[in-house]
Amino acid sequence: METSCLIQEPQKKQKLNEEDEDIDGNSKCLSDLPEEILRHILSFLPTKHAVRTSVLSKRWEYLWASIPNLDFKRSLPTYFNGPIEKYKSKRRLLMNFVERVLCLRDSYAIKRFTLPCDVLGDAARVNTWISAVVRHNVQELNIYLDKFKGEFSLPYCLFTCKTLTSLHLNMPCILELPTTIWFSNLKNLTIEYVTFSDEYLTQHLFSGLPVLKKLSLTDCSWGGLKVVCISAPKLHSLSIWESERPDSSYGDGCEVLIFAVRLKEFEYSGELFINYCLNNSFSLEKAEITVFSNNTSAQVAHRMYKLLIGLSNVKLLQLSCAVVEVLIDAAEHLLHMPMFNNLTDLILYDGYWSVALDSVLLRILHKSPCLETLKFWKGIRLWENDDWILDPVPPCFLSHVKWIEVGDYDGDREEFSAVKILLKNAVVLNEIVIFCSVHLRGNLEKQENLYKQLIEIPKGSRNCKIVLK
Amino acid sequence: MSSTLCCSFAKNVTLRSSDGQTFEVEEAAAQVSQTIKRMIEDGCTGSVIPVPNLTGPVLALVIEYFKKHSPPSDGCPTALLEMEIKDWDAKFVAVDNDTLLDLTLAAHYLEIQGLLDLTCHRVADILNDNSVEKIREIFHIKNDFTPEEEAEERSKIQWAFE
Repeated sequence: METSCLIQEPQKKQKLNEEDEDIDGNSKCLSDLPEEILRHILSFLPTKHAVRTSVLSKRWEYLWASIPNLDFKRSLPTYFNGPIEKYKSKRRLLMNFVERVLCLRDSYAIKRFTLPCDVLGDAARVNTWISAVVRHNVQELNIYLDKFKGEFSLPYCLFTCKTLTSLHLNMPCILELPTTIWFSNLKNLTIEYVTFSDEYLTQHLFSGLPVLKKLSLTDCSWGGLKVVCISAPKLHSLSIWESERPDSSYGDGCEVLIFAVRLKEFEYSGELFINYCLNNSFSLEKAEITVFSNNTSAQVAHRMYKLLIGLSNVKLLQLSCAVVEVLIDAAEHLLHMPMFNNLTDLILYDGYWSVALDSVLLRILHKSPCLETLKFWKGIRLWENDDWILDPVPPCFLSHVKWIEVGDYDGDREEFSAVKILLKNAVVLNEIVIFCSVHLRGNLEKQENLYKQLIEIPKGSRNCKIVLK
Repeated sequence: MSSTLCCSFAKNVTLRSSDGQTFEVEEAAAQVSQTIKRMIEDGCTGSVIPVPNLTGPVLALVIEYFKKHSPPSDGCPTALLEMEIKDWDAKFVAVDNDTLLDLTLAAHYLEIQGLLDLTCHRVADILNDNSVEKIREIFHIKNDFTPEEEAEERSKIQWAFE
């Protein structure tokens, strides 16, 4: 804001007084506020509402043209089943509107630009807009493009945009890349439904991110690529989600190597259609791995081991129960389970069944000497009532495990056996919290019986508290 | 400011509105306004500080805002305090529209960014929640378009009225 001093700038003072007279009437008119304030007011409005003010009066006609954020919301649902004429006319309205907004744009920078658009045959038009936005020093760009007719490539100026700090690309098509890529200020990058096709240029893209902090890849296809390195020296958080199997015409052979020395958080959710390997992620604090299906194979198990090896520095590890199931299929790899020397919290969550206290889990426990907290959100069970299962007892049970949580507890034999084993062997345990399953909620009598049963279990840790919730 | 920090008692300044009313307020509180802050730094505190753009009632409101938003004496504001201030702010701008515009202008003149954001946001909320006709009525905006001109304006931005 322009600085002013009420005493020392007589000219300014005089001007303010003039304006004062204007508004000192009985009823004040919003239009009489200085333009600077009106622009500030408009900056708080959604694009649509800011533009609507242009019909208030002539004073307002072009005021909106400088609003910092231009967010065009989808005027049609993604799957529009109505008549084609309606679709066409709605789309035309949006296209004309975007064009008008960009044509009238004065020299003010665009801070954020959000465009959802069915491209159809208008690739050139869409590209002109994106170029215009880049010329206006855009900082945050969100583009959701769909329904391409023919080839589509984003304007090359986008890939060297110096002002861009956040980019969200959602476009189910092949991403054509230029030879020069350098996002000197990009901190957040989200790529969805994109197919990468050129190994050399894709490599370029993922090495042109010098200050990138957050990267999300959702249902991207790596096409026929063999190896891709993602190397981002400042990367803090990486998320990879894959819900759909990539097109079968592409091989499963791609290997994505991740070099991110500053990585703190890693999340993977999918079926491991391809290999992901983390390298030198020494500062990793939190990792979350989710696989859903029980469609296990030796190949998937092998990929899971490779992934786990890259996570060996992690402090908090969250695994879906199916991860443990996947690993069972590759008993030969069990011996190569990495050491998790920094791991203090292990959470097993999200699965159809409770996790089994079996050889895989035991192996993970053995390799986690500093584990303090162990949570089985979906419950835990022991299939055979045998004491051999924790023999030898994992070192963390003798010195570190202080807190255990067991969820979804029904109190059946297998669950009880597992809790019994845990209580017997965790000799420094402070507290075990057991959450009753939904079936037991409200059944206080059953809960009381279960509690009686639980407190009679011989405990390895004399001071351990047992809580049933 | 170092001069305020080394004093053990709270220093006051006097502000005078356009209609000659004077108000005494703690110097630290008044410095929520960048304009007043600069004047104090320039040594204008000897006498009364004139605030010629604000009438007495508006200046009184602004001083209420100063008091609520003056930096706490014991350092960083807590989350609880921040929430309390947010609630207070919301009530503070729930005023009639004329007063709202007065406060907006006052925040602009006195460079109180927090108050300016607050009032502009409030005006924006009103614009957001009402039809074009209603907005004209609320804020006394005279429609100087002919019906034909207005229809043309609307057709150019039809998408915004979808």
